[in-house]
Amino acid sequence: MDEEEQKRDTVKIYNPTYLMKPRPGTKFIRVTVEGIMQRILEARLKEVKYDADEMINLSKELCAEIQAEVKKLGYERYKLVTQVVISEAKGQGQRVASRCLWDPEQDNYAQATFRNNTLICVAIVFGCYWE
Amino acid sequence: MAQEDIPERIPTFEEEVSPILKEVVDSVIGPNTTYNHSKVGVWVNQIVEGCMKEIRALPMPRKYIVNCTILQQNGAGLHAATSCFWDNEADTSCTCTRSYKTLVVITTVYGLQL
Repeated sequence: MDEEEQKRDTVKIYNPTYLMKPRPGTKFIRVTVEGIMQRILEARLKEVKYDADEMINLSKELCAEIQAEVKKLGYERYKLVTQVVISEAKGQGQRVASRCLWDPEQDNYAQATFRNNTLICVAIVFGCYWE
Repeated sequence: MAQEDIPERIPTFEEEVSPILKEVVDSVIGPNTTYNHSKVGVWVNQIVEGCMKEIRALPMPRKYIVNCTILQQNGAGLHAATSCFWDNEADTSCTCTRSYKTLVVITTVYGLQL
């Protein structure tokens, strides 16, 4: 039991590699990540009705789940920022936009949207290479 | 004897960025603006580009992500959550929410250290 606790408490520190590009095979691939995000959103939100109290936890859980799944893909030198916006579908207009100042060859983003009768969900994952 | 002005305290990311966001949002969307579906795209681009222009001039070299959401106010609810896999000491974010009569603007800036 103590060993498990120790494993949880240790913090991984990444030292810089000073490589300008990610190693071949470890680059952030948009299509793969989008597929995973769409799958998670559809599985989790299919039968859900918008409820103000439940959405607080659901949005945080979705964020954590998407983040965990993307980490499993093995993008070792990538910093990930995941954003999930859930809004009630009441006929209102909505627009979400982003601008990024980064290295376009190494860094990328992936987005997924899901709609049903009562809610709209927009999820974005930004991946920034850290040398 | 010439002395350089050395600031006593280095301003935090939030202190530097928060006033920029407020200023840009106020300049693009004043208190009298009504939500207009055809103009939202233009507003959002103006806000995001305006913020990026000001933020680029900050002294510390970082990678920046600016995100802006404009939502029409008609009683609908909205929840936004962010999860970040980064270095807690080096990277930060700053959010600014402005609500007007017919619309709500949420702007977030993430700063990732190189």
